[in-house]
Amino acid sequence: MLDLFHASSRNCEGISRRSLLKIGGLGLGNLALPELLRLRAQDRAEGRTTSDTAVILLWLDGGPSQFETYDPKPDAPAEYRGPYQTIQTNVVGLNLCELLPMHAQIADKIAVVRSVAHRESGHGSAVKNLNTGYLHPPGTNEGTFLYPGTGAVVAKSREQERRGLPHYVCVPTAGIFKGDVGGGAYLGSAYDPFAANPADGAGALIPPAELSLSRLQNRRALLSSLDRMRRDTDASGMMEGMDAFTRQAFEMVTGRAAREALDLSREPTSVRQRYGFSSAVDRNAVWGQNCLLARRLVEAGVSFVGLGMGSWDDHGEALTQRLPQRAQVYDRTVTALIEDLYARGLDRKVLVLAWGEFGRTPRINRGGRDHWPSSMSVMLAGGGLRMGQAVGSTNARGERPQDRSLHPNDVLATVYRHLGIDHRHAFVNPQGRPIPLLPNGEPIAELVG
Amino acid sequence: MLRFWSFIGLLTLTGVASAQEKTLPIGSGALQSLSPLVDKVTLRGLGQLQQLVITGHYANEGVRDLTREVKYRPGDAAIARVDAKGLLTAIANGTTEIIAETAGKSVKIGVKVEGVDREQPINFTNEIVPIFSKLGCNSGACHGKSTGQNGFRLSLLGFEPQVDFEALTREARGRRIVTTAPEVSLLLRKPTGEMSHGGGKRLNADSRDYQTLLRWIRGGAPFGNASDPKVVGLTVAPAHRLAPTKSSLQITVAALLSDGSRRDVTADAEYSSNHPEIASVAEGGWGETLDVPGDGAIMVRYLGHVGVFRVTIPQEAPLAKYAFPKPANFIDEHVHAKLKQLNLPPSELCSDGEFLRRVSLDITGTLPTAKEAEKFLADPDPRKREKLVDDLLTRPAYASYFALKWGDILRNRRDGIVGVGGKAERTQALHAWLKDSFVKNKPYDQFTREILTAMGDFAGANAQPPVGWYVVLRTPEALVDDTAQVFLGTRIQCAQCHHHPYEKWSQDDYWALAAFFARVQLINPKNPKVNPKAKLGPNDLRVTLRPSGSVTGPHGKSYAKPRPLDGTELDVAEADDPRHKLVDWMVHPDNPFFARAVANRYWAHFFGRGIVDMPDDMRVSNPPSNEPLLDALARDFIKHKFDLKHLIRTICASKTYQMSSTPNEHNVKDKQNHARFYPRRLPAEVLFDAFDQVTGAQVKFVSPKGGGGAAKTPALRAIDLPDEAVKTPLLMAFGKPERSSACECERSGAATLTQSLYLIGSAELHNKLKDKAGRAAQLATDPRPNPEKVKEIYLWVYARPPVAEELQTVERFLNAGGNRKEAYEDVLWALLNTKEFLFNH
Repeated sequence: MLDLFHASSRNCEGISRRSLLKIGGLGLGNLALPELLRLRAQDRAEGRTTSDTAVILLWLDGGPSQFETYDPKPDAPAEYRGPYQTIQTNVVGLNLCELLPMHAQIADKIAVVRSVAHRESGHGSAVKNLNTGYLHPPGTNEGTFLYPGTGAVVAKSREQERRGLPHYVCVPTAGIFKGDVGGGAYLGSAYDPFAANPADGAGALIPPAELSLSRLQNRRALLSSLDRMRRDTDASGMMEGMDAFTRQAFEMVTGRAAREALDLSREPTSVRQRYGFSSAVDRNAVWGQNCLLARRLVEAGVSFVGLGMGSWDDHGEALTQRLPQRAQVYDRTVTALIEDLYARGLDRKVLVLAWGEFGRTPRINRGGRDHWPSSMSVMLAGGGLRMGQAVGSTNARGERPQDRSLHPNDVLATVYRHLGIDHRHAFVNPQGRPIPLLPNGEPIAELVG
Repeated sequence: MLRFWSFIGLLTLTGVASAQEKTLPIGSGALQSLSPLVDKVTLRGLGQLQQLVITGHYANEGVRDLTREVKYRPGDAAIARVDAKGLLTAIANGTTEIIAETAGKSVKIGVKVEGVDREQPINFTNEIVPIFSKLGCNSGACHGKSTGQNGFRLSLLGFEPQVDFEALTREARGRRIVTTAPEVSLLLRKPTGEMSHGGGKRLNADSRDYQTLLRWIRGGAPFGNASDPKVVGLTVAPAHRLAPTKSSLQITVAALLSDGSRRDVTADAEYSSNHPEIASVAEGGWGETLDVPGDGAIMVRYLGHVGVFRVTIPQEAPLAKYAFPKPANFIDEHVHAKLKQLNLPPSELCSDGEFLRRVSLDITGTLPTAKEAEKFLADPDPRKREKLVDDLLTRPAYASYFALKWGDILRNRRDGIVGVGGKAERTQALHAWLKDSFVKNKPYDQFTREILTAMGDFAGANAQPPVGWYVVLRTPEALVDDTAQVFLGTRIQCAQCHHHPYEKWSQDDYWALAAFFARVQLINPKNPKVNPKAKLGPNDLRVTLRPSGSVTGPHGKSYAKPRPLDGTELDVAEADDPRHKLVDWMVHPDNPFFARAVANRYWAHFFGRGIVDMPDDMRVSNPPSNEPLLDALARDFIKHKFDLKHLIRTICASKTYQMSSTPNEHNVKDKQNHARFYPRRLPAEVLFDAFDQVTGAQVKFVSPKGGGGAAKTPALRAIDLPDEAVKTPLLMAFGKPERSSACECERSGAATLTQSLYLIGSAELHNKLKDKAGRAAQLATDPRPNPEKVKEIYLWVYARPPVAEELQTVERFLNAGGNRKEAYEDVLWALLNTKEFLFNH
């Protein structure tokens, strides 16, 4: 029974590691990776563009403190500096908060943008602003995105490319991520994120156990002999489109690519341990295997993976009570992901972006920090960008950009550039109005130069 | 008494003025003569252009465009030049003539050039702004967006020339325009690519546009004099043509100036085709028809004015070989007239099973049961289709399905403003009110009035559930946007911030319409002083009227007096509700929007396509595919006192609605004129319920706990869901809308990969199929012979029995051994995945 009072929302919630593991052990498919690659080669031969670049978005819901992550201020007065120390890293001049010791070992593989600022101080509006590039009017209904999320734009831009997996996938976390990184909005629900939700077989990519491969194949054969309606009754071409999707979906469901990508048991134990397993005492630890899944998904051809890693809303005592433990898991997980991408030679293909709604108030308030969009830090890794640097800086108390004042849309423009998508391109909404992907913003020169 | 609006506005639009022009047949046989569109041309000023149009007249008294077929000979090339496309350019003062000739026929055009010697100062608005529009500089994707582009902002589509002039001449330290050294002006160096330009190269240094810009800067970059003539309208000529498939023709556009003169602007106007699969258009007004019969419309824009050219494209087809069914009512007469004009032979009428399934889905959102199908197929009554429609209209599912439709349009959303979760009571109340309205067949004018004039609370004593509409929309802007789109079929929202780019509506029109809602106030009855936009839950709001009020439009301008579209300002007494005045205007029989909008919306519901398409985008530049049909439908609806059931009966009784979707050889490309029925995918909720009905595994949505307690709450079907809040992956994948806009287009009917994945591998569908008490389980133990059981399945799925071959295929599959129940699950799955099931056809 579905309860009318408990509306589901379109985000990436609700997977547990155990169920992810469970979906791995099903029967063998008939479409292995080489075949997938052949399909893509065929795409190229037939003139469809194939771009290999991908993005993993680590959405730090709640808005992490810049002081306690990537922009510590050791020389600021105590009420600004906060309770944590600053540590040096393997990049001279790129110091970080002591809560990120593992980052310090690989600072040459990350870039930190410290001078991003905007004006949205509420969670709802900032989530929409940063994930779509557009301000939403104050009265916009909660949960309603008027503009497509970055991943949806990618899915739209690459819709002609056939992959063994959907273009835009959200990796759900265990009920932590309450936000939403944006669906298709006016582009249509076809560009919503494909949420790998175990309650429905990873978004139907992995069918229920009773549907064995042979049964699926029998059904497919039966369908083709019974589906006899003349396709030319539909001049819009939609019936033929549906046939193409059915073929593609059968390839995904009965093929190996999706199953293999989702099957974490195929990873060596050492790798899985490096990412970290979840534990009863720390629900955030689920991020580890989710990040590993994200890497497997981009490797298998997904263009944009959204992954929730919250909640960083460290008001009051949360700054001292909850942040350290969370930062520890974050530190371990993110560095595992980055090291792994580099080790596999994926650092040019895959760009990792970690950010949340905003930074946090420079002056400690009741032991914690509140919302502060006037300055925030953004972490990027890979993507063939120039790593081992901090772009821009904030003033002595971390209140606002001191040089290279940047807008979140400059970050998104950098992301689109990596994906080979022109951020000035305009899609036309149903009202007939052309809407550019971003209303402003340019790729950040220090990163792309 | 109520005739306080006028139609003056229409006259400023083109297409209308010349609509009386007779449409001649397509020329065939021998060419008899040539004629020019204008036989005497006067060109004023150096470089002034005139596009010629040469028409060939044939033995059948028909015509064809020969503008690019003929050879042009200038009488005196020193006075005026003409190119192969018939574009004439003024060079020197004098009089001459141009001869156009082909196939032994010729015609002369008199040309007079004057004013070349006089210095003609360039007017910024009339001559420079159109260049920005044509090159796309002031588009929303470039400098026209509100933040500009790289520090340079132009008004969107050039609607505010004064703003553009300031930006060019006053900003950027005067580098954009350098009158002392015109060639170094950024305005020239950027678009030509001489300097790096984010928008790329847009302008050639040897083009006429470049020369105009250069001349303007050399002349001191003036704005122009207040006394300079202004463009007050456009004429498109010809306005309408019949043209064969795969042919081309020339459109010309003239600007009407405030001094009474005309100027040819064919080369500078912007063109876009409303139906690119039927007709395309290139720069300079050169149109081409493709190989699809139908009506094409080409929208023409110049300096904020809009015009339309229409082309009707018949095909070659042996129409006489095909029988037209006897018209059932006026709908068929108008549709048949159009089909005959286009040489589009209609398909056969659909079978009884197809009709039963089609009309049940369209009126009640519900598949017929196997029993209903059996009974209907066996019924010998010749009037059984008519009786079926009457019967369906009395069923509760009719009210449910149309409450769902109107719930979308009226955005019956549970969510409120940011941070405040809405509750179900408000959406439930509006949903129940909608259902009740359809059960009672409330006249549409009254239905509209009750929504627009809702007052007080959605619940309690004297409850007015449509208050919920106000609670969701809240602001005068949102109210006027939705009022126009929902009830007038007009998308006016563009005009909130800038002149409507495809319509005549200005910001003044918009804000004067918004003034009808200026006195509306949403208050918290418990604490009327609290600002409802701040902290209140949406369920606590009450609609009241202030004694006075105004809305604030652009540049701080205040609008207190409301004015309906194309009407005059109204004085509304304090004791009167201005919203009633608005509804009085809307529901008056002469209102040009109201009845047409709903007639068109209902047509689109039953045919998958509006007579004007999109159904809520009615405008001069988006003409109906069959104007007399839309007129007649609206008139009939008004005559029958806005009776919605009558409208539905009229549509469903037509032979047009009862046409088969199977095409014949000659109507297979038709998408516009209803030569056959167009199949469309079942909407999300209908599909969900149809899955349940066929699989026999009803998923029950729990209705909210009312006074009766949980045990008594009825289980709901998906079409009965009151709002957007309840979702399942299947409903989402198949496009159940969020209700975030009033546009029915938000309900996606498209096919997606996600849908296919859900159909193949989702637990949601699989659980329905394998339900222990479901159809597969029942059939597996049912002792009847296979053919009987297969027949029953087919009746459930398609409302028809299987043909022999289908029966054989299914029986062979069932007899292949293995688990019986699973075999039935597989058969049901396969049938549920066929297009014949997934589509209403």
